Amino acid sequence: MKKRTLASLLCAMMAVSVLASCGNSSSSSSEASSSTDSTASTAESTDGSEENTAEEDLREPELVTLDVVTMSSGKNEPDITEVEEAMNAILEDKFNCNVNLTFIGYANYAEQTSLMLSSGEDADLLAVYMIPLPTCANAGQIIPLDDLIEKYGQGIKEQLGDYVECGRVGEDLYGVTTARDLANSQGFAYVKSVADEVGFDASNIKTLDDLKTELLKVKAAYPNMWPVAVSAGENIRNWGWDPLGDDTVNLGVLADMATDTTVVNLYETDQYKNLVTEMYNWMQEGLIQADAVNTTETATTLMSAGTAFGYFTNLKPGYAEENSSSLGYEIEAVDIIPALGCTNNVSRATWAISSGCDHPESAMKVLNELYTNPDLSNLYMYGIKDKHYKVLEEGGASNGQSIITWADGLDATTSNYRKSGTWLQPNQFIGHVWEGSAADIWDQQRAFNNDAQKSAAFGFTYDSATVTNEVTACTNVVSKYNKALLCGALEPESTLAQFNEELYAAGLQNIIDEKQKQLDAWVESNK
Amino acid sequence: MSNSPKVSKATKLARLKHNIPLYLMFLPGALYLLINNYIPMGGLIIAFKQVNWNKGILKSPWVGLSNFEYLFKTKEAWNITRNTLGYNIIFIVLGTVIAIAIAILLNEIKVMTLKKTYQTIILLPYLISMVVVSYLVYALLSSESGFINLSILRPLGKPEIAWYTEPKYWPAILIIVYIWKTFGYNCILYYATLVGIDRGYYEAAVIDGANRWQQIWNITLPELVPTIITLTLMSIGKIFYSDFGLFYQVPMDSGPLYDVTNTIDTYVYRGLIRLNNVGMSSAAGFYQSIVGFVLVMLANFTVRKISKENALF
Repeated sequence: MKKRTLASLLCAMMAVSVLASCGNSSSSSSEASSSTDSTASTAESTDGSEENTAEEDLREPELVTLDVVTMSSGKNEPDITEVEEAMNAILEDKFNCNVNLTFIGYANYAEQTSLMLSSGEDADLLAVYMIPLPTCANAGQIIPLDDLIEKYGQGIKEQLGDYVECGRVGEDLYGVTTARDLANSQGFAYVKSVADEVGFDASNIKTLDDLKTELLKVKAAYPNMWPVAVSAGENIRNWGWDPLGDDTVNLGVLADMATDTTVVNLYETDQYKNLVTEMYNWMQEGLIQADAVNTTETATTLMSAGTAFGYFTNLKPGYAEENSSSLGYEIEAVDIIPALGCTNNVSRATWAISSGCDHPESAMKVLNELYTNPDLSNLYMYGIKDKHYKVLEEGGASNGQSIITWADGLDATTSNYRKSGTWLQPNQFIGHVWEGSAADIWDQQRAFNNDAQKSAAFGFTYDSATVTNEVTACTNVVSKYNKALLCGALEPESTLAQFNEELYAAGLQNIIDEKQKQLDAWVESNK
Repeated sequence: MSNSPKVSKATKLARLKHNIPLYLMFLPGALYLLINNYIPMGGLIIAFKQVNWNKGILKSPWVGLSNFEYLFKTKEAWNITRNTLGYNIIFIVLGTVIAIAIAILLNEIKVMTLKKTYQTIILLPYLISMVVVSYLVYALLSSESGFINLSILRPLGKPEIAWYTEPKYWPAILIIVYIWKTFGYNCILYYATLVGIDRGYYEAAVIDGANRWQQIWNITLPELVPTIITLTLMSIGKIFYSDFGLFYQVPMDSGPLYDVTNTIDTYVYRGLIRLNNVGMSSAAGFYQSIVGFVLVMLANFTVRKISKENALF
């Protein structure tokens, strides 16, 4: 009995793969040619040509259900099933596919997804975020996408252009970046009402010292409010360096806005030392939340409760508007470190197909659809029209989509399908624009990405496979000191010396040497 | 002589038949052990592999001992070994002493209702999840709103302490939390033995003019020795494991405390949740089991040498 079912399953799978490969040889050539001439375009609606030509071939012979995973707003989303049904209506028609949506909160995201990837279950298509793409790729947890994207993902390539290349590990493409801010400036976001009241003037702020002067006004007016709140122990993640693949641990970086290609130990640079000394002084003066190191809250929670004023964050155009709408109160933001584009920014959040996925072709088709079909993408990002959101201005956004807001009677806390981090969903650039953001916000972000200063190693991806032992050891050392130093909880002078000593004892030099070697080779081949 | 094997075979069969109900009772437990503890041992090969999920576990390349390297490579290796062993030794010694002391005290209480009340109260912490405990500790130690800073140190005019960034207090805090949480349970194990001691010994001792202290020293403690040995041997087997909740949740994963709170389990967890490498985590598990196994054998061997009837096997 068992054998028979297995055999029939195998037959079915073979049939699928044969059909799939046949279907595509005919359509891919025409797609390839059509995409080459529009690679540089800003491409909003790419439906049309390719879907028409390949419509019949793209349908699965049997209904396929894919588990699709991304981040939630942090609370349950009870209306997921309804959104699923609406998305399935589109997908079933086109590909005979269904999706099963899973949302995971920020705090558990890295853990949960890495467990899913290790077990190969519960996730077919997912956003890889906060766990390094190369380690997933090297462990065979996700599959190479080159062939699939060639066959079924031309829409993705058109949408992302050269940024697709940043998802490579070695030769192969493993992840496709979400469309979002692909460079980051660094700065400070804060509650507008309090700022207005105490005379906090963002136009005075060019440096950390300026920010401090303004924050002291807040401190004076509200002694019980923390001027700087910290999310889950992390005060500042980056302050103008290229971490070369080690996003939060910074093992070997290009410091000082990454203008040349010498890999250095960040924790020995003046840039880092000055930053943590400043933070230490702030902590001493009571400007930073006292429990910063072990807080499990997020800064915005404290701000909602009125016990905090603002937080350090990476910024992008429309940051304040976007977050104001999901927080339910108005925030503003001020840039301090100008935008820097690193491979990390791009590969930090990518969509990948798990090696546990039984239908990689369907997964790529669905992913392509999410990147190119505004209707599907809008459902995924914002839920159902007139149930979760309502249209304020039909076609009001510069990409032809609408300006939208909460449906009647709902807000950020009462909606059952909450607009959350749409930046971690495949392609927000083709979707609606939330009320409060500029109508051309997505164009602004594209321009921001294109204009940002690029790191000297932009496009370089680093593979840590040969130094895993050192990385594990150094990661432990970094998690001991880095966050606490950046929170200002540790006295920098003595701690830094000890920190660096332990890093070198854990083999940091090997990592730096290895990175430098790979980077030099990359520079050589990209001359 | 010639037919003795036949006889013994027959008696064996008879005995087997006789014990069938017992074997049946043993079956579910054995199955559980087999499925839960023995079959997964096959997974130990992961520790020697560079696991690639595309190829599957068996086809992944062998990498010898390189998965183990990171455990021994750095200065941290010494630190985590010291913490794991050190805390566990203190837990075993202090835990046993306190549990026995409380068990004896409980035994001396003659009012039944009081005895039951105390028993329940000291058992309660054992039933609380470590995550909840970590927030109880946080309620005491938080620098903003913690009870100790706010209601003790401040009124006394003493400087407040940033507990979560000061490693020097944490060995004591962790030991107190651990003992507080577990002594109730251990104490009941010892108390059960105490209740079983023949009252006749005590009556005889009283007639001979022994005082309370002498009774405890000469009757109670010797009667407890087998239980002490069994429980200690079992803890020694786990001496290379640490209570993850205690060392990860209770200090709230605070970086500056790692020197005194990092144990093998938390080290492996921190290193690997970011790197997401199963080979290395199974290497750590493998290493822990081997050390635990050797220690149990050694300890049992020692006990056998000293008093054979008290050894586990």
